[in-house]
Amino acid sequence: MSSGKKDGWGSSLGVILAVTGSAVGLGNFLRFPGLAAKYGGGAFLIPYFLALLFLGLPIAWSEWAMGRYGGQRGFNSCPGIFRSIWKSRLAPYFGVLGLIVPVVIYMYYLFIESWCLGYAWKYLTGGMNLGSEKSAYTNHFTTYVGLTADGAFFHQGMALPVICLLVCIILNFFFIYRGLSGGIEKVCLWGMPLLVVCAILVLIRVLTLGTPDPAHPDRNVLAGLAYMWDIRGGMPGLIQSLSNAEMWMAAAGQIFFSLSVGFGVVINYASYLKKRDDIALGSTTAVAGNEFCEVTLGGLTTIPAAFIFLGAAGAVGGTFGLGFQSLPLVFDRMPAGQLFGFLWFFLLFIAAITSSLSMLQPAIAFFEEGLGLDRRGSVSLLGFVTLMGTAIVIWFTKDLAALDAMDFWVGSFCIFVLATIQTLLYGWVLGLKRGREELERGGLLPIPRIFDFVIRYISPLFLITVFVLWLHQSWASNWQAIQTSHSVRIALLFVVAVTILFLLLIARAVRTWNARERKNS
Amino acid sequence: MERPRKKELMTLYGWTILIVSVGFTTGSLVWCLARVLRNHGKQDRLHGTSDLNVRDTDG
Repeated sequence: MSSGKKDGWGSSLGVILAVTGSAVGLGNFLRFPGLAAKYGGGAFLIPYFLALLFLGLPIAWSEWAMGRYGGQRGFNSCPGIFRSIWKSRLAPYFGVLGLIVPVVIYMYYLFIESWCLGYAWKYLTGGMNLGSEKSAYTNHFTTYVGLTADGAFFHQGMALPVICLLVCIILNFFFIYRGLSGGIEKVCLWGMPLLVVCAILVLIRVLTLGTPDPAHPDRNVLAGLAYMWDIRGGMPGLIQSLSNAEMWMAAAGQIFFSLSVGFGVVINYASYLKKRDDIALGSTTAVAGNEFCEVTLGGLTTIPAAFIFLGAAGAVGGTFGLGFQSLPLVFDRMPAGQLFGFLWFFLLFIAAITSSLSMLQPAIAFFEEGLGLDRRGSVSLLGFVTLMGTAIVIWFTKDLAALDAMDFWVGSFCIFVLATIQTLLYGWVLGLKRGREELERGGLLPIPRIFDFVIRYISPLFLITVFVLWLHQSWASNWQAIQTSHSVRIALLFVVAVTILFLLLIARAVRTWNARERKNS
Repeated sequence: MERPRKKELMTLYGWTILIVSVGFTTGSLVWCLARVLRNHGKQDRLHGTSDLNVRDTDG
């Protein structure tokens, strides 16, 4: 419940692009194609689209509805919105997840964002001509990030990686200080179309490559597309792929993380909408925008490009392996590769900055409405907290231990928990009647009746099932990492400290809100 | 030389999945954006410029 003048969106297109910009990130262009290639190409798309319909889209609709519901009651932060929906004393404390998830993810995402900026700069200035051996690109990435030892990132002195990181920090806080319509919205209104133009240029380049290496006639565009999209082994292969539970889990996880649902961002963004603003069409457009970037632009570009130049062996790998080691080698072998390398990493940078900006806003909103801080005070406080977290990430770079730990426990585990809480809040606490009223008020798109059943029963069940399977698969190694790695323990202790700090601040905010409500009643 | 090349070509399943997936995502976005833009002028009832305050409560 904030006092004074309120921040807000300038246009409906602005809020849609801001939400899309928040969702579109490296996962769209690197993680999704990598997973599809890993899990039998086209077969992966079947569970993927089912997860979109039964998990992603319903949760996105419910988040927008809850966000505006809270916003109409004077709250923009997750603790405040939860409190307005659920009249329990515990409700705002559950909202701590909506603050720490985006804030902690920002701490390490900023580091990755700076790699994209650094690589784009290197392509622009001709600094990425490292030869035609993959090892050169692997070594370059290792040195750039400082993978060899803790503190290695700083051994380079005031070199490009450090400068790019500083530039990213300044840009993020400059735009977040300018507010919603003057900062985030403007960046997304320019950035998102620019991102799509860059991606389409790279896509056209990839689809017109033909058979670039006569020594490997089997590595051509059609074969690259087949590797990404075809169902390997025909109908028996499809049935075999669909019986793989791990693939279903990966597909649901990808939809879930890609749409940034359960992130604490959408609920905050939607809270700035007015009572009769459309949310049904806006939320669906944001989801469609994310899917276009992921399936069409990412799906047609990344894996086919890697396959055409590197074969099947080069078209697999994790997000960082594919993005920062394999693809630079692809650009080295591609005609006009320097230009397309720049366009590629520049679009990844735009995707990253539109996401990282969105991660700061939920905490800013909380500081303003819960603690009564002005924009300068909230930005300064958040800047201090996030700088400490980023310092931990960039110091403990050996095997990216701190980054991986934060990504697992906050960027995955806490997101699952928050999304489950939000789904239950919408379906069982806010209720289907009030939820639908919210969705339909000012709506420019009818929401199907089946959505009520899906969000109340199917989505939570789907979510919890995937969560349990995912936890079962990844718990042991991450628990072991806590026991064996001191950098993991330090990173997680910091996350716990930030969580406690936010809980204490929420307690203070609740006292303020209660006092204000008593005074008004 | 022909045989291995043919093996790599896209099958009907592959083409179907590619066209349906790309068509669905691209078509959905175009359809949604067209509706948003159609309502942009007549129904843009978000905050008017007088409501906007980029610096929030600052100062």
